[in-house]
Amino acid sequence: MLAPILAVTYHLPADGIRALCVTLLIGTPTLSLLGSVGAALTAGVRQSGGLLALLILPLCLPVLMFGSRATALAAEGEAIAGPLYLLGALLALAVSLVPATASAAIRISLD
Amino acid sequence: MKLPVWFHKFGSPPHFYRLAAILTPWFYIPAILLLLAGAYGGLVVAPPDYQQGDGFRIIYVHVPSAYLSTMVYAVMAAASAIGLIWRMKLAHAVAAAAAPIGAWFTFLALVTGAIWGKPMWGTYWVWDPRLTSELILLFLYIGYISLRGAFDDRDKGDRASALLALVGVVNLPIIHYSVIWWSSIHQGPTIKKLDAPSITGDMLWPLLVMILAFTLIFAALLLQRVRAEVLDRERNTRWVLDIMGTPVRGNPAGG
Repeated sequence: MLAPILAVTYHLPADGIRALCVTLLIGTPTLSLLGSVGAALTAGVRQSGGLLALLILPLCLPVLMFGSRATALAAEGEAIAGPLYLLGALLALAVSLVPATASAAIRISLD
Repeated sequence: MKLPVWFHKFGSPPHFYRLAAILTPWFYIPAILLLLAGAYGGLVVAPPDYQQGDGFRIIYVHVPSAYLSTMVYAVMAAASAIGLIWRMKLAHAVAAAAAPIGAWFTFLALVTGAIWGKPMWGTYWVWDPRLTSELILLFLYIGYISLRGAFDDRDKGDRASALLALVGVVNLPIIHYSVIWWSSIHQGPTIKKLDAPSITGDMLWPLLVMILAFTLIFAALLLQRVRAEVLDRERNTRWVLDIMGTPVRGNPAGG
């Protein structure tokens, strides 16, 4: 929500802000889905905070990489379809695979 | 699913323990011989590169360890899948034993790459797709090992970390194709083009020998580590106590 306003304060051009909003729109659900896998895996562990970060960070990196790449390309006035397609593909993968994985993880850590 | 008898026999810890003891030297000895041959070939026989001089010789460590870092992950993920699907305890032991070896190979690939990158690219590290995905692999290994360690119940830790290993498999194709998909500073594959390799024969054969040697070392280390892991996991059973020469006290659990 705050991202467009923050982007203005950083003098991001209008194209960049538009791209930023789109990447956030596609990327955020992916990140939350990945987070749910991590939370499910560590559900049975005490003091899971640090462990959760260690598990989720590597999985999140591709999303962040494509997102920042799309924004950077748009700020330079280039076509951003490529990274956006990849972000969409990651979201589709996450939506289709995460529920099954998370349920399996919860079953393991809480049985 | 019906499984053949040899599968069950192979999965029985005492049987595997004895088999691994016989096999281990058969991996170690050729591994050391090939390592010596590969080192001689790589350091003495291979001509200096026309651009990089002698600096390129680090590939004889870098390429095998980078190749094994992904290969070990594949082995670990396959073992995890077998352990999850058929609830085979030995498979979990294999996955647990493979993880630290894979982490060290990944570390070695990153470090040798950085050492080579300083004179060649002018920097130890760039946020390049190939390098980043390899770093992700290292974090996956570390996360896997610590997730396993975080559970008090070994059985639970086995299955939770196995699931994580399977989730992490998505990273493997990213690493492999990163130099093709993105314009990367890291060079593309050199040996894969078997019809016309872009590397001369004198440089190529030591590399192939080193890859084979590293693979054999991995196999030998894995067998040795699995034996230790199996002993630890089965420490209260009769066959382990028999091997250790400990007199069986009272009513031993299992057997």
